Amino acid sequence: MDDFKLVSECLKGNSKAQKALFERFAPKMYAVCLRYMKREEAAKDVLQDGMIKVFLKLGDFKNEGVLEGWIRRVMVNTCLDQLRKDLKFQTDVQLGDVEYKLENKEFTVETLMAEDLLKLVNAMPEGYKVVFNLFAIEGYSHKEIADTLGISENTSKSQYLRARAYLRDRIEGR
Amino acid sequence: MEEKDIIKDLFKEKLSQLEVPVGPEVWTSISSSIGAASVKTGLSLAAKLGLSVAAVTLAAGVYFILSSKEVAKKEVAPKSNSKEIKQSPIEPNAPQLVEEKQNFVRDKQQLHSLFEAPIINTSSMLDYYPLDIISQDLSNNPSDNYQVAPIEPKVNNSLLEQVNPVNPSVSTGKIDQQIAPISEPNIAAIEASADKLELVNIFTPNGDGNNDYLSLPKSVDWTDFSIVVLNRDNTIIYKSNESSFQWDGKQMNGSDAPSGQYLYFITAQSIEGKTIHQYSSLYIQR
Repeated sequence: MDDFKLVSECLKGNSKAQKALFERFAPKMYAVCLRYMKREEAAKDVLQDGMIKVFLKLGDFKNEGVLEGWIRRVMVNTCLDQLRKDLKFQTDVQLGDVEYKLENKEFTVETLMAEDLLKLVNAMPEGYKVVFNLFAIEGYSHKEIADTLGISENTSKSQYLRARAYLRDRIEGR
Repeated sequence: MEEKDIIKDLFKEKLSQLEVPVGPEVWTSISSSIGAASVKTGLSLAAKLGLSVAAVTLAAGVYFILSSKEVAKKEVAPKSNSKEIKQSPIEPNAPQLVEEKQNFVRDKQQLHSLFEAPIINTSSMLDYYPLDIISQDLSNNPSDNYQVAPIEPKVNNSLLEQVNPVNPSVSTGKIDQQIAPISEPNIAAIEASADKLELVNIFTPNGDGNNDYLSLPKSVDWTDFSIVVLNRDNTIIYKSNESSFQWDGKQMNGSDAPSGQYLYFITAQSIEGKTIHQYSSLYIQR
């Protein structure tokens, strides 16, 4: 079943198609959530909320563009919403929020596994993690980021540079 | 960017298409949410279910009443409906699952808060260091199937990470995965120094001759030694003031401690006068 067919079946309420759609995109979207949310539990919650949103708003997807891209946008927005909400509860710091550092100093860039990179991204300070995710991985422009997060374009740029320096430090092992 | 942005390319290449497996429970709760939402659109899931049950019943009735050939046509319709029935029995589980998780996380936090004060003072020493595990034959203990949601027994990472209630395997962990570290050689190859202990976080008092006892390495002499083991209800199930203790997994009331998650802490003073105050989670696997 291609994406268009899948969407139209989902809209008809075909539960098999809904499940198929979930299974097709959930692993990728979970990886997205893991990059934004600090804790895996939170990422799973956001994945769930986001996918529910996807199903409820599937009617808005007019088959313009790629389904995956659309779902990804919904998911990223859900992550950002959640992060905004979390700001209110920031005193609730987890004991596990320790910085992740690669132990082996002789890492070369090529040998880094995606999982390691994911952990690195995840361990970044909240401030520039979001900007880095949006800019480097989701491919938003600084302008879009500035609009989405309500910050200035220059803030977005400088946060990104900071994130990049942070990651480079971690990867090159200093 | 003036220079080529290696970092960006690297992360984009490796992460933008990354897939991480998702447990089936997520779909379960999503499908129930979508089901609930469809009430708004007119036809509730319950109604659908009722309809399809009715249809199936009708078909069954027709099947028995009429003979052979006419039946074939009518049977086609209910077939597709009957698939919907399959979905719904799963739904009630979802909220329970979530609740269980939360309870467990709360438990862990409570347990943990008990020891917060000593941790702060000695946080620099909070590392894991396996104790010496003595191999010895025990009489056969009955194997116990009782399960408490297990925590992933990590041997090397920092304690802070260990207590983090976020770990997804906390709620879904499978015993098979959990026991893997037992056979790792790092349990035995440990040196105890005078100012910190390497605490094990798992042992298996099942009488198989491997890791049947919890004990300390003999290389350091301690004064003022004490070890206390707590279960998840914060009840003390074992304590000793002997640094030469060997715990066989029996609780103070004489019964075997069931498989599951425990917590223990050790305070001791070395001959040189250094005080240690450490704790670790402990997984008992029978």
